[in-house]
Amino acid sequence: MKRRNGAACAVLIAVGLYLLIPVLCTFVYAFCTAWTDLLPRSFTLKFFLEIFEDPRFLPSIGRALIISVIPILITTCAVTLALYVCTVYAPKLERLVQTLCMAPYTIQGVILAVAVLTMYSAQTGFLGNRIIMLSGVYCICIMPHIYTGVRNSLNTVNVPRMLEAAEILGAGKLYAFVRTILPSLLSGVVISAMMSLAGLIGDYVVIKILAGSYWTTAMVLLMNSRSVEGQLSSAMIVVIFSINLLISFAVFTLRRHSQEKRSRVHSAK
Amino acid sequence: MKTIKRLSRYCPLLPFLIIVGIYEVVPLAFIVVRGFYSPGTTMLSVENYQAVLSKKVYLTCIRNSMYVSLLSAFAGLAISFLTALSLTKVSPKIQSVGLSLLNITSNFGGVALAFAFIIILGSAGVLVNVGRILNIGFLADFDLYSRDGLIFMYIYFQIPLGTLLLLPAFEAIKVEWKESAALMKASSTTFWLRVGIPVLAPSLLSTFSILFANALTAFNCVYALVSNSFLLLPIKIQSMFVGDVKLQPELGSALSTIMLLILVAVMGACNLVKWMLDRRMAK
Repeated sequence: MKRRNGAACAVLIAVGLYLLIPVLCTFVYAFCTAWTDLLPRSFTLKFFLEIFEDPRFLPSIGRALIISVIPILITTCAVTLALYVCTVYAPKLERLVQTLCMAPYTIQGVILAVAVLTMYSAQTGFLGNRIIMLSGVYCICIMPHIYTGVRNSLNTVNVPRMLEAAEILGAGKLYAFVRTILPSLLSGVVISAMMSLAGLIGDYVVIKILAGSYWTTAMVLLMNSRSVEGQLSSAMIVVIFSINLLISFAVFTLRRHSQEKRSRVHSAK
Repeated sequence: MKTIKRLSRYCPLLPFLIIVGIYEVVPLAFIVVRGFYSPGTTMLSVENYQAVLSKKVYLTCIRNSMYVSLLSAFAGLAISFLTALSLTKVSPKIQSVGLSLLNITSNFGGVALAFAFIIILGSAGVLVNVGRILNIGFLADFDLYSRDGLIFMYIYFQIPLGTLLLLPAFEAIKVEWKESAALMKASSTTFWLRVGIPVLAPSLLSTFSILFANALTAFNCVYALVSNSFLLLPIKIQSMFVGDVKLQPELGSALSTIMLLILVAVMGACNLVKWMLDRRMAK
């Protein structure tokens, strides 16, 4: 048993080092003046000051957040309403909704972006607007995550029984869904939304193809900073990754909070 | 009246259908059809597919993408399997730390990952300098901008995804099975080869197909690392729709359809093997 645990620990240490070294070196590099020997020469905060003094940096993070939050809100509402119809009226449609929601796992990125560009770029109206195209593609890209979150949350709630009970008390189906089912879905949906947010903040390919220089997000700015000092790019990565870490921490805290709440409800019964 | 009332129940489905129709179904159908248009016209022809399947540059793109995706998916799956297996054998505290690390590093991808690898393994990278100073051959001579360098980077983002997908599947391996195998004097390797891996096979196949799709469609980190200098399908496709050189949307559409067919073929093959294994297990 001890030998097997030793081998397991060795594997985990090797994989852990492989995963951590790029992250740690990037973090340390952002604080170095130069690192050409075994150890860095000296440390400085000047690169962080430089990026925060750059008038483009903070607005680029703001743009990344705006273009991520709007598709998340739209997709969450659309998928939740679709699953309401499937759960309450048409269970047979669930398979179609699932296929349409999970298909973007394979077609996300380049294919979806070029497909939308080639279809709508020549249009002059609403559909031809670059930001609308970008939001639409992002809605599709995050659909698998949002669908999984809403579906898993719905599985924990006995929707038909709860709706029956509400109807007996005189409530309509949609009213009952919004007032009784939706609050139960909230924590699962928020977790999926935050995971989608982290993914969208890190996107580059869709913005490059669809929006180009119209909407410079943090990733576009990072890509454009390739030709300047490596420490500057590292400092930007540290800030962007810290935002992702904060989002992951919020997800982890919410998940633990909802698990504790559920176990308290079960133990009270 | 009754029909209107019945149809009005499906109204909440409309926003979903509109978004999916406008931004998923219609564009994908259009890109498949556009691959059959002659360049610059709307006349139907197969010349785009003939060009894609005969010209060296496009065949190299397909070959490079398949090689990098298959190899990184296999390597990623093997390492993920060992990592997930190791996580089931350690204490809950170490498991929790491991899972946190995997969740954190699963967010460290794309452009940031490419920059991180340039910092450590680029021509003047930190680890390359360490290799030169300490005379460690494989570090000093490491070429990140080659096909093998790309695979090394691809494996980085395959491991967290693969491990997080495989970990729940290990709950299907019961302790009683391992004890029965030990009583019959079977070694750990024999147990995993004859019992463990066949039981986990459906999960392994699903994970492999997701890792393959993940690798084939990867763009952000590759573009940040090698830009247009390395021939890969996503890079070539995007250069045909956006860029400074002559745009070739019809040829790009044909190449996109080929990429979709490769994805569908590999995922279909995995599902077929899964179905055959399920039938064998049911017997």
